[in-house]
Amino acid sequence: MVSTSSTNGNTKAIMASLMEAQAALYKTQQQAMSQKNILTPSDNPVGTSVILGANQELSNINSFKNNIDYLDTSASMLDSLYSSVWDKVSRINDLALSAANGTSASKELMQNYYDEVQSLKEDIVRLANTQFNGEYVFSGTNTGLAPFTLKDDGSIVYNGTASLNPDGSAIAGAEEYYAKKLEISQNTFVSINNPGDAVFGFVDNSTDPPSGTGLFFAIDEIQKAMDPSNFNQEEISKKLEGLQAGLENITSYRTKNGIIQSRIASAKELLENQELQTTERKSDVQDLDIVEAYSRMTQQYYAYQASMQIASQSMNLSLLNYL
Amino acid sequence: MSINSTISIAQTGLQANQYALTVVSNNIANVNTEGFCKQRVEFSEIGNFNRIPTAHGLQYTGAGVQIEDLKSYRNDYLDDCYRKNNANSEADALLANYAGYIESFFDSELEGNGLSGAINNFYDAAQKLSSNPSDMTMRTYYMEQANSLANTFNSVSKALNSYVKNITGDVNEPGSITNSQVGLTVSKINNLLERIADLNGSISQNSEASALSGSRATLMDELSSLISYDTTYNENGTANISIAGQTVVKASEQVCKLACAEGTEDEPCVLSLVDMDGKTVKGSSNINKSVTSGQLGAYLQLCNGTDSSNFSIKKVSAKLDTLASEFADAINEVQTYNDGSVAAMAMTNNKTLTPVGEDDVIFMNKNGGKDNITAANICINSDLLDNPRKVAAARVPINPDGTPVDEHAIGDNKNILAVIATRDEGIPGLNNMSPADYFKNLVSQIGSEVATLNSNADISKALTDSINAQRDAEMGVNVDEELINLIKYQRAYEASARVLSVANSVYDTLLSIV
Repeated sequence: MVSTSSTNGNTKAIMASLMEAQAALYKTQQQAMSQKNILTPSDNPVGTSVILGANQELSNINSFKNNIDYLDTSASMLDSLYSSVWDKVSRINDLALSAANGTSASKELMQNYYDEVQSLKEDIVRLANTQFNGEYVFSGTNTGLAPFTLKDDGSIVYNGTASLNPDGSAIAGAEEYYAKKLEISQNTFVSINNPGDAVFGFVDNSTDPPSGTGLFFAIDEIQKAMDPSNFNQEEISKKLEGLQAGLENITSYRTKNGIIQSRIASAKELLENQELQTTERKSDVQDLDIVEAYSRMTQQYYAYQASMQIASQSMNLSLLNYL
Repeated sequence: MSINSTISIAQTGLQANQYALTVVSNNIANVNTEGFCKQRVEFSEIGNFNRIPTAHGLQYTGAGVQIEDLKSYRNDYLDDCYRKNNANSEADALLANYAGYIESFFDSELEGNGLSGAINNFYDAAQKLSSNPSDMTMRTYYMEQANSLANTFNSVSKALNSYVKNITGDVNEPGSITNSQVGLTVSKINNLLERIADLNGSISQNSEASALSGSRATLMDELSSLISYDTTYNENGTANISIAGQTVVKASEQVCKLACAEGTEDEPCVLSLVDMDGKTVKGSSNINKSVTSGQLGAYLQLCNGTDSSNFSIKKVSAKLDTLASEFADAINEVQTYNDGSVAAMAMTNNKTLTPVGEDDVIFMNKNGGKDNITAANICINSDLLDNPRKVAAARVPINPDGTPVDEHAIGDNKNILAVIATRDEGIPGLNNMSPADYFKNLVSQIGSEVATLNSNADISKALTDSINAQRDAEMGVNVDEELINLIKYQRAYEASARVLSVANSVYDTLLSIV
């Protein structure tokens, strides 16, 4: 092979091997300083794909968690709302019971009962018109409209997305239109809003006899029976059943809400788990094994030092020193 | 046999060794000269015999030393090998360098920024909007994220295109190729060819001129960095050079030269050979396919959009264009969805739904149209940023006249859910990958291409280096070797001088007898 080598070629070779040792050391230094294994896609193309995939997953998880937080606050808000409604309806129930069973019902007391029911009814309508984040929660998707309007004749009109026909029967497939779904994990959706007509019902006093359905209709009928000018204990007892049904309906919606809450909680737990795993997977590929890197750097440092020493010695080596 | 002949022999010794010292000192002086080839004197005995009477009659000895030849160590075969490999390794090195620059645009992707980050942020904004579909802040945020995604596309595409423009000039601007890397390389090549032809001319008159062929070798090495070519040598030491099968330098005459012109988007520059009057050489109007190595070959590859097997900037930028266009189309399609029974809805100022205008798309090209979107021209419909009510979050049943059945359903988020669904849906134009997957694939592909190019560059550099080392070992100067020769010739000179002084004292002795 190469029998002699030129001085110039020798110098070039020494320089090249010095540069090589330096480049290796520099790369490790960069890695150590950034604490990252992969600084640029070509360092590990497959790893790059893993990291980008993990970044996307983490971003999705972050979105899902936002959605879950939103759902969570909205569900707790609903829970306390249902609880207040329940209290108020119970109070109406108590008042109606006393009115129905009272032996010495004075006209004045009846008027008091009637007025309290009226104000409780207004409270419940106000509760049903609650807004969350600027959207009415019981309007279905008509979130810009207050779901219930209490008219002077006692009618309670529902303005939200309808889920019931005027006769109180359910509209098939209505959920498609009133529900607002949010993604809580990859392709899993939770629907949050409930149609006010199914929860509270409605009353139309413009027809004769008055029509309506649900809690509001029951309250309206009881209130009418408790009207001191038109007082009817028997009628009150009859209508108590409807009130009970309305109360049960509220309870059932509250339970459904509770189920959503627990579903959200478990989804959140799952997501946190998933986030941990994804972060770990990403870190496995991306983050530097600091012990390995440090020992590699030490090794490369010595290699570089050795190259320099050898270079300085072999460059000093010349026949000139001996002539 | 006379004392005179001894003196004249000593004189030849002195002279020959003095010349040898001149050659050695020239070698030492040129130890760091690129392309320099060491020389050696070869001595021979002067055959003018001096008669020596012996017992068996007259016998003969030589009449001193002469320089038989000045040997040059140039090796045309190794030169050729080196230049062929050098053309390859220069091309590989340049490709690896440029690919590294291109790759660095995507470094930030690893940190969760860049285009993949912008895509993720866009979908996050869609998720936020889905929880509050009628909220203006969320709508504005959604459009802002769309805007930043479009801007990211623009800036990556602009960076890529600026590299292409730097290399080949702008295809739409005639003459811009002259000052591009390709243009400059072509003029460098023509300059080298001219100088090589000139040196050929000098060499043909003085073929033994080692310095001339050394200079020519340096020029030819330099030429091999820029383009690959074939060489044949003539009897008188001149060299012919041919590029793409066409002789361009014939001994001392430059027959034709390289020219470049703007081409198409996919082949932004066209190389051709023209004769010295500027007329295109027959059959050489486009020699791009033959120019595959040297820096010029690498430049051509980087800007070639048609060849799919090799790395090219054009290819990366074409893939980004596809991504931008398919992504924009998918989002626009959802934004203006209408299947006759349900349709995407924008909001009015009165918080009611209204059908989305046909032109109320999210993404447009910079000329205002919604077709022919590329990474370079993608932008958002600024009308929607100024008036975020026009973002279609709702998708509701419609009447035959296109108006919504329930115009109050502003809390509906089904259309924005459809936007979110595009996150995971394969798009046919993206090989059935989702936008994020397609981009992830692109980055990882660039990474592996760069890794391959880097190792190619290392391998071909090692190969070229080893050939160069061989060539160097044969023709390069080793100072130690020269120093030994220096002493050798100095001692020989001293010895010859001593012979002279001995001959002188022999004369003295003779004269003293008289």
